[in-house]
Amino acid sequence: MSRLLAALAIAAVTLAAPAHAGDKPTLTVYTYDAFAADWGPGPLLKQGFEATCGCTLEFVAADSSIGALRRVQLEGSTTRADIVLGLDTATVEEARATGLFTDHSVNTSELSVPGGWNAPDFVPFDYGYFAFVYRTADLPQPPKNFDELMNLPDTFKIVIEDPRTATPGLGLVFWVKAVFGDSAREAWSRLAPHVVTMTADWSTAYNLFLQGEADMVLSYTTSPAYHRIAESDNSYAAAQFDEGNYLQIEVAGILKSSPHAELANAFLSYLTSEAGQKIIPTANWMYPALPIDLPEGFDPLPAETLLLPDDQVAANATNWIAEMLAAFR
Amino acid sequence: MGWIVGTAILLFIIALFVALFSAPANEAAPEIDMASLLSMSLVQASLSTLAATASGTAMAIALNRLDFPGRSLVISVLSSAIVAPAIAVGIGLLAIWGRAGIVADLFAAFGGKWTGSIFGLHGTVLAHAVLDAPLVARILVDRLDAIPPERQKLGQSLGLKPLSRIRLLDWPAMAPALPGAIGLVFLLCFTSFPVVLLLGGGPANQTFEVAIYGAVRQSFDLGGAARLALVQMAVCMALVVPILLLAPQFGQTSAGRRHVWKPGGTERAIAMLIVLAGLILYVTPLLAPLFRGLENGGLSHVFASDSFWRALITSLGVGTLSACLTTLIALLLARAAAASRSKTSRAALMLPAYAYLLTPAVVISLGLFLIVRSLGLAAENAAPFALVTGSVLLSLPFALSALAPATATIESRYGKVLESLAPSALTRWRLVEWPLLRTAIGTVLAMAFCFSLGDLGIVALFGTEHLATLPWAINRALGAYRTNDAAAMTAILLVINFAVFLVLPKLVAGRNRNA
Repeated sequence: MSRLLAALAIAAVTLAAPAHAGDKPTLTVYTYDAFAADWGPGPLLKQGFEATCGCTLEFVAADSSIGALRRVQLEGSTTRADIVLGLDTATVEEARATGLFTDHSVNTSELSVPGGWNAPDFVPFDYGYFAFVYRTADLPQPPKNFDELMNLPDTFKIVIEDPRTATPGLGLVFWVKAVFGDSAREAWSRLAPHVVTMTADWSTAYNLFLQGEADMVLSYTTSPAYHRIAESDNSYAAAQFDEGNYLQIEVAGILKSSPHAELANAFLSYLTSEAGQKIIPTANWMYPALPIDLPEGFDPLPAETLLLPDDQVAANATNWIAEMLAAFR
Repeated sequence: MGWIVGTAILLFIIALFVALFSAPANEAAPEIDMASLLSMSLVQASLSTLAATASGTAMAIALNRLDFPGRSLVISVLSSAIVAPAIAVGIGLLAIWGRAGIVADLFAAFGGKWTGSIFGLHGTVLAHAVLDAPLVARILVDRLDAIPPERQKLGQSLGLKPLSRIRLLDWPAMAPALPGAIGLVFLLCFTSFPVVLLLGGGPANQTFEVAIYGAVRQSFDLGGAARLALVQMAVCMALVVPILLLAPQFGQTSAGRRHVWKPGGTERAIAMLIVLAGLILYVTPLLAPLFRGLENGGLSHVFASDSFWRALITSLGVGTLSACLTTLIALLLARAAAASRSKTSRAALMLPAYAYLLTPAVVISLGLFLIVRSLGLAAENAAPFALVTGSVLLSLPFALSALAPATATIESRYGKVLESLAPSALTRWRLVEWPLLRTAIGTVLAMAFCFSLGDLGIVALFGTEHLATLPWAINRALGAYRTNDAAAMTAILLVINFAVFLVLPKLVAGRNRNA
C-alpha cells in the first residue's frame, strides 16, 4: 500500500511539472464546452490566430460559460486564464463585479450588435435571440406572442430550461419581465400549465423536443439554421414574437492578472475581424457581431429586440427567478 | 492496513469540506429552504424505495417459483440494470412512456390517446424503480434459491399454501438481506441526480444533489452547497449507521439452487405474469437506447471521429485503473472489517466507504479542485487523479457489500486455523483467500469498471480538453445539436457496460463459480 502511495505521489509530482512548449507564449482562453469542441469555432480560430501570432492558443473548456467564470473566481489572481470567452448580457455584470477583468484596447467601432455596445471591459463577438422553436408540419400557425401561447389549450406543451442553471432559462425570465413588467407573476402562472418540464441545460430541453416530448422548445432564432445547413432539414422554424425576442450578446473579457495583455487584445481583435467572424455563424450558430453576410439558411433577424439594462438585471435577477419558480411549485 | 485506508478516506472527505467552507462566501446568495427540500427528498426517496423494494421482492419470489430455460440469463440481465448509466435509463423511459414513446404509439394504434406525462414525482419514482428494483430482485432471489432443500421438501410435504410458504420459508431467508438492500436503495434515491434532473419536471421536485448543483452554479454559494451536503450526509448517516450496526453479518452467499419447488396452476401463472411484467417494465428502458443508437447512421459517424476514439480510450483507461484500485481498497477494508471483533469497529470501517454515496459529486469535484489549487498544482494535470478518485469512491460501497460477506465467511470458517498456522501473507492469499474471493472480486472489478465508465460528474471543473471521457463526449454532442452521435455513443456505452458486467466476473471466477 505504501508503495502504491509513493507511486501516486511520484505521478502527482511528475504531472505537476510545468509543460515546456518552447519559447512561444501560451494564450489561455476559458470558454464553454461547445465553443471549444471539435466542430465549434475553437479549432478554426486557433488555426487562424496561431498562423500570425507566434504563440500557442489554448482553449480550456468548462461545462458552461458560467462554469468558466466560476473557475476563474475560484482561482483568483493565480488563474492561468488570460481571457474568459462566452459570458453574456445576463452574466456580464456579475463578472464585472468580481473585479477580475480589465479594459481592452480592441477597436470595436466596426462592430454592430442590436442596441449598440460600448463597454470598455468586454468585447462582443456574437449575438442571438431567444425564441421558441417548433416543427412547421405540426404547427402551421405558431403563436405570435406570449399571449397567444398562453391561450393555447393546456395540451400544448413547451419545454424550457431552469433559469438557475441554463442561459436560455435565465433569458426567458428577463424576456417575460421585459414584456410583462409587474404582472410577470400572473404571466408565469398562465405559462406554467404548458411547461412539460424544466431542464437543467439547453441540450436536454432541445433533445426532449426533438424526440417529440413537446410542441415547442425554448432555444434560439438560429436553431432552425442548424437543421437547414448542417442536416438539410427544413422542417424547423423559430417563432418571432411581435412584442420582440429577447437578445443575448456574447462577450469576451481580459483578466487583470494576465501577463499576456497585448496578445490577449490581439486575439480579441482577430476574433472580431472579418476572418474570425466568418467562422461564427456555422460553427457557433449565432449571428456575428461584425455586419457580414449570413450564409443561406439563416432567418431574417427579429423585427423587435428586447434587452433589459445590465444593472437592472444584476440587481433583480435573484428576485425575478424566485418569482418565476414560485409559479412552478 | 484497512484502518489506515478507512481513515485516509475519511480525512479526504473532511478536507473536501474544509476547502469548501474556507472558500470566499457569496453574501448575495438566495436563502436555501432546507425544510421543504428535506421533505421533498424524503418523500421522493421513500416512495421510490417502496416501489423498488416491493416490485423487486415480487420479482424475486416469482423467479424463485419458476424454472425455465434462460432463467439464469434473466437474472444476469436484471443485475446489469445496476450498471446502466442513469441517463440512459432516463432516455429509455422516455422512449417507452413519453409523449412520442411506444406506449403512446400503442394507444394511437387502437384509436386512443396517451395523455399521461412521465415528468414529475411519479416519473422519478418509476425511473428509480427501474434502476433499483432489479438490484433488490437480484439480492433476494439469491437468498431464496439458497433455502436448504430439506426445508423446502418439508414445506412441500406439509402442503403449505402460497402465502404460508412466503411467510414461513421465504421471509426468514430474505429478512437478513432486506435492511441492507433497502438502505442502499434509499441512499441511491435520496442522492439521485441525473434522473431527478431529467424527469423531476422542475423545481417542484428536487433532491439535495440538485439543490447543491444550483447553489454552486447559480449563486456560487460554496458554503451553502457545503451546508446542504452536510445535511444530506447527516440524514443518510442516521439511516446507514443503524443498518451497519444492526444488520446481521451476512453469512455465506448463494450456493446455487439445489432444489426447485415448482407450484402449479394459478400460482405458477401469477409468477409467470410477474416475471413477464417485470421484464417488460425493467428491460425495455434498457433496450430502447440501444435501438435508438443504431438508427440514423450515428454509429458510422461516431466511428469515423477521432475524438470518439480518444474519449473511448480515456474512459477504458480510467475504468480499468479505478476498477483495480477499488478492488484493492475494498479488499483491505473488508478484511479488516471481518477481522474486527466488535460491531462498532466494523461499522466504523465500513462507514467511510459509504461516504461517497452521501457526498455529492459536485462537492468532491469542487473540493478536490480547491485542494489541488492550494497545493499549487495545475488543475488539468490533476484531472486524471480526480477522475479516478471520484470513480473509486463511487464504487466502494457496492464493492464492499459484495466482498464483506465473503471475507466474513473466511474469517468464521478459517479464522482460527489461520491464526494458529500463521501462513505467510502470500500463502494465505494463494491458498485461502483468492479461491474463496475470486467470484466476488470478479463482480467488484466489473461493477467498478462500469460505474466509472458511466460517471460524468467529476471532470467539469478540471478542464475537458485533455481528459474527455465517453459520457463527456455524449454530453458535448448533445450540446451541439448532434443527437444521433449522442445516441450512438450512449448505445456503445451500454453495450460495453453490459458486456463487461456479464463476462468479466465469469472470467475472473474461473471454474469454481459457486465458491
